Amino acid sequence: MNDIILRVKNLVKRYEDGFSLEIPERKFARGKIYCLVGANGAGKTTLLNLLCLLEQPDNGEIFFNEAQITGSNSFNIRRKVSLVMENPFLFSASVFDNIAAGLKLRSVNKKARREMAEEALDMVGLKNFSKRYARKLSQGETQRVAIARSIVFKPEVLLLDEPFTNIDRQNVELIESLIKVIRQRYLATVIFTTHDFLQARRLSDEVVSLVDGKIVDGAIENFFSGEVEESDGLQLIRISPKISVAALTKNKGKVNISIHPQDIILSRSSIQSSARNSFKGIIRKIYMEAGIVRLNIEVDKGVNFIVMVTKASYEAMRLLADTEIFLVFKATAVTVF
Amino acid sequence: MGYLLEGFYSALQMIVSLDRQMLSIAFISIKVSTLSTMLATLVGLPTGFYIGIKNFWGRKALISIFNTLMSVPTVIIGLSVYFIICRRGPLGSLGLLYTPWAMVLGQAILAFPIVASLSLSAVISLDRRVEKTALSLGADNLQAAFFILSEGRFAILSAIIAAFGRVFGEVGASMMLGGNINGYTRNIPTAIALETGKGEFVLAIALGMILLSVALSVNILAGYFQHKK
Repeated sequence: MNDIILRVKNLVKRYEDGFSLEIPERKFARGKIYCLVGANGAGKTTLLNLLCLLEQPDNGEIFFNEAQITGSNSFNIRRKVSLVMENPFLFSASVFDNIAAGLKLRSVNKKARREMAEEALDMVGLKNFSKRYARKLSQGETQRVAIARSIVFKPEVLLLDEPFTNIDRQNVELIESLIKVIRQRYLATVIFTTHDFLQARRLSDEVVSLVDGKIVDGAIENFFSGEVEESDGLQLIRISPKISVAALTKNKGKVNISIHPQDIILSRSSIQSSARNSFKGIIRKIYMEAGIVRLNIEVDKGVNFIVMVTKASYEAMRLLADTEIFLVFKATAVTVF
Repeated sequence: MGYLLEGFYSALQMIVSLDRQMLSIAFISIKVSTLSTMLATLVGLPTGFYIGIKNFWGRKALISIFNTLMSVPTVIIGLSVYFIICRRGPLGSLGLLYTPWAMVLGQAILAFPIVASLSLSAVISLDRRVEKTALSLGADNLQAAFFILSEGRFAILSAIIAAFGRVFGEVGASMMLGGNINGYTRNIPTAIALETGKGEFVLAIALGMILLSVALSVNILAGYFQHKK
C-alpha cells in the first residue's frame, strides 16, 4: 500500500475576484495529521474543497493512492474522502438519521448502520443522542455530530475545515483529542485548518502554511523540537547537533519551541547584544509579500529559520540568496510548549 | 331564510345518509383532482427543482412566467385545452373531450405552475450547504437532489396541497372539458353550478359543505407542513 495517499501536482484554482490557489506539488501521507494554517482568504477552504473533489481545479492533477483522479474514478474516490465543513449543516432529521446518511448512500444494511452509528456517536462522546433532533443541538454538539457523520463510513482521508470555530473550550478539547483518536483507530489521514498556530503544532504531524494561495516552506513560524539542557543557569534547547536555542522554561525533557519570524533580527556581522541567541546562516530563499519580505535562512543542515523583514530593510541591507547573515533573537522570544 | 335553513337541514341529512348521487359526484371530483395533481407534480416538481438549483439565461423571466401562470383564469385553460382536444384539434383523434381524462389534463395544466412555482421557491429558500454536505458524504448528483428534496419536503408538500386545493374547487375547465355528464364527468363544482341553476339547493349545499370541508382540511394540512418547514 502506498504511503502517499493524496498528492497534488501543478494545482491551480482561480476565482473571479483575482484570488488563485497555486500549488506546484504537495504530498499527504497515509495516517498523518496535517494542519493548514493561514490567514482568512489564504486558500485553506479552497484546498480542502479540491481535495474532497467538490471543486474542480482549473489546472493540475490530484492523485489518490498515486492514481490520477479523472472523471471515471472521481466518484469512487470521493467516497473515500470526507469533509466536515466550517459551520457544518445537519439535515432536519434525528441525529441517527444524520449519521447514518453516508452509510445509507453506501447501501449498508439497517443493523450495521445502527451499530456503526452508535460506535461513531460513542467516539464523539454523544452516546445517547441518536434520537435527538439534530437542529436543536448546541454548536459544539453540532460539530461533533458532523464529525461522527463523516467518520462513520471510515474514510481514508478526513478533512476538517475550521473545526474549532465558534465552539466552547470543552468542545475544543474534545475535538482535539478526537482528531488523534480518528487517526489512531481508522488510520485515516486527517487534514484540518485552524488559525491557532500553537494548536496546529500541538495536534498535527505537519503544519502546512498557506499565504495568498501558495504553500510557504517551513511553516509560518519557526517550529523546532529538542531536549532541554541546562548550562550556567540558562535553559538551552538542542534542536540539532550544532544548534542550541536559549529559552526561558521550567519544562524538562523534550519540548517544542517556536520563534515568531518578526522577533528575529538580521545583521551582516556578529553583534554584541543582550540577546542570548545568535547564529550564522545562509539565505536560501526569499519570498516577497505585500510590504514584507520573508527569508528562509539555513543555520544548520535541516535547521531553517523564517525571518520577516520590511521591504525597506531588505533593500537597505541588500539581502541576496546564498549570502551569509547573522540571526539574533532574545531568549524571551522563544515560545516553549 | 326558511328555505335556506331547510336546505341546510336536508343537505346534512343527505351527507349523513351517504346519498349515492352525492358520493358519486364527490368520488369523481376526488379522482380527477388527485390524478391531475399527481400529473402536475410529476412534471412540475422536477421543473421547479431544476429552475431552483440551476442558474441559466432567462431564469428570472421563467420564474415570473410561472408566477403569472398561477393566476390564469380556469376558463382560459379550459378554452386552450378545448381547442387542442376537440374533434378538429391536433389531439382530436384521441377522443378525450367530455371525458374525465380531459378534465385531468385541464386541471393538471392549471396545477402545474402552482407546483413548479412553489417548489422552486422551496428549493431556492433552502440552505445552500445541503448539496455540498450530501456530496461530501458520498452522494452522486441524483442522490444529492433527493437530499435537497428531502430537506424541502414540507414546503414541497404544501405546494402540492395548494395545487390540489386549487383544482379541487375549479369549475371553468371542468365544465368546458368534461361537459358535466351525470355519473361520468360531473364533479362537485360543476354539480353545484348546475343544481343552483335548477333551483335544487339541497344537493348543491351538501356538495358545497363537502367542498368546504376538503378545502379546510387541505388548508389545515398545508398550514401544518408550512409550520414544520
